[in-house]
Amino acid sequence: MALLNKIHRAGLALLLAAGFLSPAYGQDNVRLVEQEIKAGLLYNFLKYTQWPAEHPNRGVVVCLIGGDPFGGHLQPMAGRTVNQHSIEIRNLQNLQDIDACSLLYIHENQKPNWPHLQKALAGKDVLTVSDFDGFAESGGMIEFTRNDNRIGVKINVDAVAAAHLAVQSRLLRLASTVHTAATD
Amino acid sequence: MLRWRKNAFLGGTAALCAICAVSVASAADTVDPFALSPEQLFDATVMSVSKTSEDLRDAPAAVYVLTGEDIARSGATSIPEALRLVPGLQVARTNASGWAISVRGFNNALANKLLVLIDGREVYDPLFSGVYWDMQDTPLEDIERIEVIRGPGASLWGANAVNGVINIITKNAADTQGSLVSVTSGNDDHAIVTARYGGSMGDGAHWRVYGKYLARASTQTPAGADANDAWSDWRGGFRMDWDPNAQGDTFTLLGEVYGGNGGDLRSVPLLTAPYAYTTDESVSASGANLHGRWSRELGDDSRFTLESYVDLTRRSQFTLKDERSTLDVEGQYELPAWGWQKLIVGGLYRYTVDALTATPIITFAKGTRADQLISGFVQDKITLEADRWIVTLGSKFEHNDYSGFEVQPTARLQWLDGKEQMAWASISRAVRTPSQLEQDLDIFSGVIPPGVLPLPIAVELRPSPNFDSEELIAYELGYRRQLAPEVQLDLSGFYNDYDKLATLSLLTPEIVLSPFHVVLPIGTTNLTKAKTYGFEAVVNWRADDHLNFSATYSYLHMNLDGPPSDLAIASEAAEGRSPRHQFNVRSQWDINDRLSLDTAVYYVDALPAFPVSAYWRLDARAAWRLTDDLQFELVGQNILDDSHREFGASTDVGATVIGRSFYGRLTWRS
Repeated sequence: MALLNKIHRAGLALLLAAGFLSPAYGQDNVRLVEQEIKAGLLYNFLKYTQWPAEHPNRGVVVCLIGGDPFGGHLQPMAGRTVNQHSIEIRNLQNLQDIDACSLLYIHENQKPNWPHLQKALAGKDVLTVSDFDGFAESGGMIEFTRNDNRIGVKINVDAVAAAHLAVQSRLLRLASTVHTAATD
Repeated sequence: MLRWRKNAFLGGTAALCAICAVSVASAADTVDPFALSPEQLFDATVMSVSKTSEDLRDAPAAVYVLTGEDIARSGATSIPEALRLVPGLQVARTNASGWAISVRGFNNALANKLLVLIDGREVYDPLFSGVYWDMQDTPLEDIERIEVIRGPGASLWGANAVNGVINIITKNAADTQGSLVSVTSGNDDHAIVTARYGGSMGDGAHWRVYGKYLARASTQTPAGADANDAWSDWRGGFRMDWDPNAQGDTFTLLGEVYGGNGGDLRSVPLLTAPYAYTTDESVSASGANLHGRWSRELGDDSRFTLESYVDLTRRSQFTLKDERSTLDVEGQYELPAWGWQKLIVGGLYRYTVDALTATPIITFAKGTRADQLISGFVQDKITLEADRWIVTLGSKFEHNDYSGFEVQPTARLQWLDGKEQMAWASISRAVRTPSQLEQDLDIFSGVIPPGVLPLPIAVELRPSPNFDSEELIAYELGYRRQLAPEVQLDLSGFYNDYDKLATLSLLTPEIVLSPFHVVLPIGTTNLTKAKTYGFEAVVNWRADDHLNFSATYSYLHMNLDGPPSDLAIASEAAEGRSPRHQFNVRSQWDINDRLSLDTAVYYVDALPAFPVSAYWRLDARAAWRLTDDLQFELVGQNILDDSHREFGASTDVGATVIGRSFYGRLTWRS
């Protein structure tokens, strides 16, 4: 026991001396800029969501509508693979191309356009993600939230189910789940 | 709320960060966000622009952070009022636009043991080492957070940070994009209008411009007369933040111009009967400042920051006419970790020119004074055992034109137990350097009518060029614990040992022939000692996502030991000017998506030196989001009480009482 302790401590010392004890390796939490965290989470949404089996060879396409708010932090995701599919990132110009998207990231500036987008998305198995307040309650699937210094997500389980998508419980446990608010 | 990020600016948090000096990883360079698990990403801390962030519980100092949301939900319409929430602070409103604010005692309208910074720019006036709170009227909507550090040694700069530092940090321009207009109206604040617009220029560059106008009603004297203290001020300013992608550089430029007008009641001494009269004094003040900053992250977990500001202030009232220009240049370098050690060094140069105009009350030998300040610091954070024991040793060194060379060392020891708990202890030496008030000014303070002697006695504060720095050795202890996932506890205690405190010593009386009177001269000496101790406790309970409770309690005991009354004036009076017990409890409740209700209850103990009794205060705020862009708030302050007095001697003709106030506010954001 004492020996183990010694080895452990020597190891830590070595890591420290080598400047290796960055938070990613230590028990400290990671510090990233907001867009990096969100980009990382988008990647995890792709990883932990199952799409219906109809389009097995579609590939994974992340579409952006309204612009790219990630400040260059999303682009490194292009070309990475998730579940053996290569990720492609597209700026969506035309709503008719929405069929090709696995995930649609809706820029905050599209908020006024959201009811219109919802119509175009009806019945399509596209995972929708946005930042704007009230997105999930109004029928969006995943809404980023900011709680003090941390990023969180709201997942609208009704909207996810209606699109025949399945978000794995690992993500749902970490999110706050909401339902579509009743419209009067 | 319990998360604490380091400041983007040198003077304040970055300063504290130097003391805490976490080994912040150059995360952006080494961590691949796509390689992290969802758990790690949700647990990741969002970095500020300075790319440094830190848990509040990691800071080995008594730190309290008021977030922008806390400020909005407090219902406060000024920075001083928002500070009532902070444990260990004494906040007393003296009139419509004046506050006496101090940390851990020695409160006074000219409280001088506190450093106040706005985005790293020192806002206390070196003339008397105090703060004109009336002019610190930054739009509250633009404030990111206010960090208050009790105790000395927490700042790298400033010999004034004896009892603590208040660091006001405004939002990054990227966080204030779009439009904001807010209009407030009530019985105390007749009108506050704020307008802001923020845009971007691409390539990570953002800007905002803003303007604010405020008009506040006068208060009443304890006898019920108008206190002649109606106040109005205006300001306009901008901020630009440029964070070019993929580079480690960040640039910030901000500036502001402002002006204000108000007044008070002032007793003016006369050498002939009736020996004093009360006048309606008018006060006008204005200023401008421009502040630039450049910070670069180097790949090896090191960084440097350079910044500079120019600050112009002008104040004119019956008793005082003063114009000041200040140039400040600062730099800081955080070295790469070297073994177990992390070193930070920095330096500062400041040049300030002050032009005083003589008034019937204040005279001096030399009206214009230029001063230079050179300051440096070095600090080493040594990890004794990783994630368990850390010791931080540091010292400030400065040379100023009043007291010469000063050394202010600090030693801090920190014990960590994962995320669950943390304990710290520190010993620091700090000084409050002399100001023009003590060394240069001749103040005609009052006249004692014939009676004691057959002649009138003029009391005159004389310049005391030999007045030296006040000294403090502070011993502090702190403990923080996560009692449950939703409950945090933060305790801190202190024992402060002061020496050479300013004392108003009686000098030999003089006879003056025309008009025939006696002058009782007073000199400022360093003959008072003091021992103070106390503690502050904070509990925060996040009952659920929609309901948060927070409670603070502060205890303060002051024991001064100064010369008796035949040698000095009220040398121990400071004992009775700060409340012994203070507490507040507040709740923040989101009833639904559209409606929130916030309440706060305060208790402030009596001030035995003044006719100020203990008082309770209840504030409540209801906010409705009418649409996604429009919010309406209704706020009541001091609801339980018709009026009460918060500060001031019984003989103070300018003393006022603080009454009940209500206001409504409409805020439009788009």
